[in-house]
Amino acid sequence: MALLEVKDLSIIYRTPFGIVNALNDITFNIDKGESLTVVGESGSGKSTLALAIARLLPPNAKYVSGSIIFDNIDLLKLSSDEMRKIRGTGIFMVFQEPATSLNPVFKVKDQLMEAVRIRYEREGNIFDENKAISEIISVLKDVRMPDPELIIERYPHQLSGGQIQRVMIAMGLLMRPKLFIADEPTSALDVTVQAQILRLLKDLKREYGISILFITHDIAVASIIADSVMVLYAGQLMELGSVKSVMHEPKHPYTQALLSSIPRISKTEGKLPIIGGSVPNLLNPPPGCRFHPRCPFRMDICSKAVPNLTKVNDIYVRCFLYGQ
Amino acid sequence: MGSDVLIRTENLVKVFLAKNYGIINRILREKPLFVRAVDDVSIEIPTGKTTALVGESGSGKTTLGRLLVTLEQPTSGRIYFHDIDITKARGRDLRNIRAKLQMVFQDPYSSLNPMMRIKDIIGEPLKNRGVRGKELDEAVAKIMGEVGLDYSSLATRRPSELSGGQRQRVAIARALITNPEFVVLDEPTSALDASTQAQVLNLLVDLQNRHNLTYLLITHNVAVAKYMSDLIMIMYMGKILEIGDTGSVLKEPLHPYTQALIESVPDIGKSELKPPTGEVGSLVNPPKGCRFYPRCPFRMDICREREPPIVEVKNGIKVACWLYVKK
Repeated sequence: MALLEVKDLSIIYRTPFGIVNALNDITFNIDKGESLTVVGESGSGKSTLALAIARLLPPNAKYVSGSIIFDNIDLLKLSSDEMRKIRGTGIFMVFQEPATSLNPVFKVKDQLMEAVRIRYEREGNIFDENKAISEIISVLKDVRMPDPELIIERYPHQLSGGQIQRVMIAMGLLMRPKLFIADEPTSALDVTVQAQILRLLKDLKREYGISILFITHDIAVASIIADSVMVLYAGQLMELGSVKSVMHEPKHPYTQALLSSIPRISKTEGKLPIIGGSVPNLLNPPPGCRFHPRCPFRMDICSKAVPNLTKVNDIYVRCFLYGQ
Repeated sequence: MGSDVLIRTENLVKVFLAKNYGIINRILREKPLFVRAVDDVSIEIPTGKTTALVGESGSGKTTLGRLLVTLEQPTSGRIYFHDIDITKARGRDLRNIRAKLQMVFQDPYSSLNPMMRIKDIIGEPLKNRGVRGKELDEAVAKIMGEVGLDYSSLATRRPSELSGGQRQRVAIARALITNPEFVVLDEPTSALDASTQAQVLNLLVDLQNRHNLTYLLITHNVAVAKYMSDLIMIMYMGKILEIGDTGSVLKEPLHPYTQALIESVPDIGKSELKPPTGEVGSLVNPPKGCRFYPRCPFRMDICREREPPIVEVKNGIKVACWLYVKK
C-alpha cells in the first residue's frame, strides 16, 4: 500500500519572460517506511516537486495536471485550511538553508514546544508543558545533539548549521509525520557533518518507520540514503528504480553520463568523460526528449516526440533506446 | 632548497580580528578577540604540479590561498616565490609579481562584474599593465579560444547571458591572460552542476599541460582533489595536519582526522559512512594542544597539553599527530 502516489503531475511557472515548464508528467509511489531520493541538477524541477507535494509552491506556479494522493487523500482537492492540518503531522519538510529555517526571535525550546503542542491538539490530547519538555529533550538526544538542556535555551543564531538541521529533524520527529521531505538538507554543511546527518536519517527511518523523500544534486549522497532513486532532468522523469539497479546498471544515457562524469574517491586514473553542452533553459526547452541535444545516442525521433516511461527489468526509463 | 619548488612558506600566520575593535571597546578596556585563520604553516608547492588543499569550512584554506597570491598580508612568517621573499615586495615589484600569481574564485555568479562585457572582464588585467587596442583584442581572442569560449559570439555579451560553466571559463581566462606561473583555484567547480563540472576540470588539466602551470586547488571535495592533484594537504582549524602524495594519503590516511574525513565522503556503491563525532571547534578559543583532540578517537593525555609537531612518517608523507612522534 503506497503512502504517497503521484500521478502525471505537471507544473508550470508564469514569469514575465514566459511560461516555465518546471515539471512534466511525473509519476511515482513511495511506500510506507521507504526512502526515495530525487537526483537532479539545477533547473531539473526537484525542489518544485518537493514544494508541490507539500503545496507550498509560490503564487505564480500552477498545477496543470495530475494528482497527489497522500494517505488516500487527494491533496490537490483540499482547501488551504485542510492542507494546513496535513502539514507537520502528515507531511513534514526540512529545507536546504539551515540559516533561514527557524524563527530568529524565538528560543529553540519555544519552537519545538509549538510542534509538540500542535501534535497534541490534532491528536485531541491535553497539552502538558512538563511532559513536552521531557519529550523534546529525549528527541534531541535521539538526533545525537550534545547537551540538549543547554541547546533549547539558545536562539537559532547561536547554533551551527549542523545543529539547526538536527533541530529541524527533531521537530519533524516531534510531529511524528508519515512522510518526511528533505530538500537538500546537507548541501550547506561540511562533509563530516553531512555524513552525521545522513547516518541519523537512516537510523531514524529504521527506528520510527517513516517514509523519506530526499532531494539532492549529489548522486553519491543518494547511494547512502536511498532505497530507490528517481533521476530528473529539465523537468522530465528520466529514470526510476532501486538504488542498486540505477547505480550499477543505469539505463538512461543521462544517468550513465552523469555517473561516469563525476570524480569519485574510489576510482583511479583516466580522464573523466564529459557531457557536452549545458542544462537547457526551461523557458524554451528542446522539443521531444529534453536530453537529446546532449545525448550521444540521439536518433531522429528523439527531437520529435517525448518517449513514454518503459519498464526495463526493474527500472522505469524514459528513452527511445528501449522501444515504445 | 630544491629548484623544483615554486612557492615556499615559513611559519606563515594570519590573524583576523573576530569582532570590530573600535575606540569604545578601547575605552571600556575590552580584550580584542582574534581568530588564527592560518596558524604556523610551512609548506612547499612543487613547480608544474597540482597541490590540493582540502579542508572543511573555517579551516583557513581560502585565507592560505589568498596569502599566497598576495591578496592578504600575513601577520607573520614568510612566503618565497622563486626564493624571493614576496611579503616584503611593494609598488612596481609587487605588481610584477602579482601578474605571475593569479586566482580563480569560487562563485562565478559574484566574481564577475555584471555591468562589464566579457572581453573587457578578460582583458582588464592586461589593460592595467598598459596593453591597448589591437594587441589587447588579439590577446583576449586567443585566451578565449583556449578556454573554449567563442570570441565572435560571446565577446560583447555580459555575464548574466552566460551559463555557470561559461562564466567559470571567463574567470579562468581572466586569470591566465597575464601568463601566470602559479594559479590558486578556489573551489573552481563547487558552484557548477555535476554535468558541467567535468568539462571545467578537464579544461584546467589541459591548460596546465599547455602552459606548465602550477596549481593550488582549494576544495572541500575529496573526490575532486583525488582526480586533479599530485600532492594533497589536509587543513583543519588553521593547521596543516597531513601532507603527501594524493594517492598514498587517500589510500592509507595516517592522521585520525584524514581517516574520518575520507570515511565521511559518500560514494556510489557505498552504503555506510563513519563520520567523526562532534563539530569543528571554535577558532576564537581553539583547543590548546592538537586542534582535533576533542573529536579524536585515539586521543591521549599529551594531545590535550601540547601541539604535535609535523613529522615525516614515510615516503615523504608528513603528519602532525602524536601517534607518529617517536618518543
